[in-house]
Amino acid sequence: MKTREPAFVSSASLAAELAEVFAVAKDMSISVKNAKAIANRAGTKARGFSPITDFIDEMSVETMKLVNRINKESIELSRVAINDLKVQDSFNKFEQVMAVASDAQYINSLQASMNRIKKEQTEEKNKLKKYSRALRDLMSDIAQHMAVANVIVSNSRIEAVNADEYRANLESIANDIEISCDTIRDRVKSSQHRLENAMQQWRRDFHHEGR
Amino acid sequence: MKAVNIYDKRHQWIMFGRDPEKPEGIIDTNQYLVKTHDRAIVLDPGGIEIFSSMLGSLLHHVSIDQITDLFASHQDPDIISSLGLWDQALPKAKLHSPWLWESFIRHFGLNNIEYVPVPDEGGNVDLGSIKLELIPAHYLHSSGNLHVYDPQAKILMSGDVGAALESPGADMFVDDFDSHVDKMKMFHQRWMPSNKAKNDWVNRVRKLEIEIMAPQHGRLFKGDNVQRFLDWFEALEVGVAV
Repeated sequence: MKTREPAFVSSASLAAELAEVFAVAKDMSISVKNAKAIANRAGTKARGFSPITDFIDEMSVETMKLVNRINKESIELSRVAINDLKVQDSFNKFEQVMAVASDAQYINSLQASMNRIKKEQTEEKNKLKKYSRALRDLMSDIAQHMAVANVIVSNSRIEAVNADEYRANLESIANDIEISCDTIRDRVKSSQHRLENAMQQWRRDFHHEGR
Repeated sequence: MKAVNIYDKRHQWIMFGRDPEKPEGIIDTNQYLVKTHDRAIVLDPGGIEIFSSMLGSLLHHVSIDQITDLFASHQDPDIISSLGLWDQALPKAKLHSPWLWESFIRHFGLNNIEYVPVPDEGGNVDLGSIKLELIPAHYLHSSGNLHVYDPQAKILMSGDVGAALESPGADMFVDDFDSHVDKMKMFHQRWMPSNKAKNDWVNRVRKLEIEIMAPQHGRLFKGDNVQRFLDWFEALEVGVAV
């Protein structure tokens, strides 16, 4: 049976997984610049190609910026997830003390510490929600960019047909960009899945603790 | 966890150890509580694995608010790896420990408790009605190491010096010193690296009036057995692994 990945591992893994997206987006940006150079050489034969390449170039740069933000947010999320685990561990240990020393003369003096931990737990859970939602939104932005990029790549193929002797080059670049888009989409999908798993765990833990 | 009152006058010393709930494979440790009418300090509070048992035992003797201070003789996990949990339990407390280990001990988790770095020459902990002396014991075994001396109770908490590897459920005090030597010899020869540091410590400690010497592992020494131990330790060759 597959062991469930701890939530703090999932969140720490997101940054590593999405680092590849950054590299692919960078390649995509280079491919687009090549396409732009060819389109310039082709002149009027590839007139419709230039605005398309400009658009995809902007999108790849934007994707790299989003990945950088995701990197920062996922590291912060992992830090919060680990802290959440530590706070949970402290609470469990204090509960053990309450159980094993229920007859101790000063057992009630521990209550203030337990209340403080409970408050800290709620604060950590709220931070987890905040950072995981922010990450989810950032990943969703990348996925949307890639969906648009796919449509644009289809359009670029139509434009390439009119480019006569430049057609083969432009089509090859369109293929490269399409492959890049697919790779990015797959990686983001996997990261979204990972994040969703972590969020589900936190929701389950939160309900469990709330009982 | 067993709790034994080893001094009970205007203030108290209580030793905790021989924990039957302790997970297998981890060394048994002695923890000490020094308690006045309104303050308390826990000496070498122990590892993370015994925290619940230790805190549960403490609460039979002292309220959580009364524990104002912690002491860690050095940085080892069996001494203070529970710090992250004490940090949650005693957010206003102070931890007295060698300055040398501050940036290392903080790895155990220190967000609330104040770290009081004790200089190499030692210092003291003022608990209001009593003052405990922090005695240098560097290289015994840790390179930054302190012991605690209570001049009123005449008790020396001697950390790893005097420690013995015992079977579970051993008595609290050494009764037959000669037969106890076998349980201490390897520990001291292997863990203590320096004859010079050892003899320096013996000379320092001989000047103190000691009724009870209380190590962090194994049995405690009382009365004449304290002097027997000092004589034995002075003559022992340590740092023998090289």
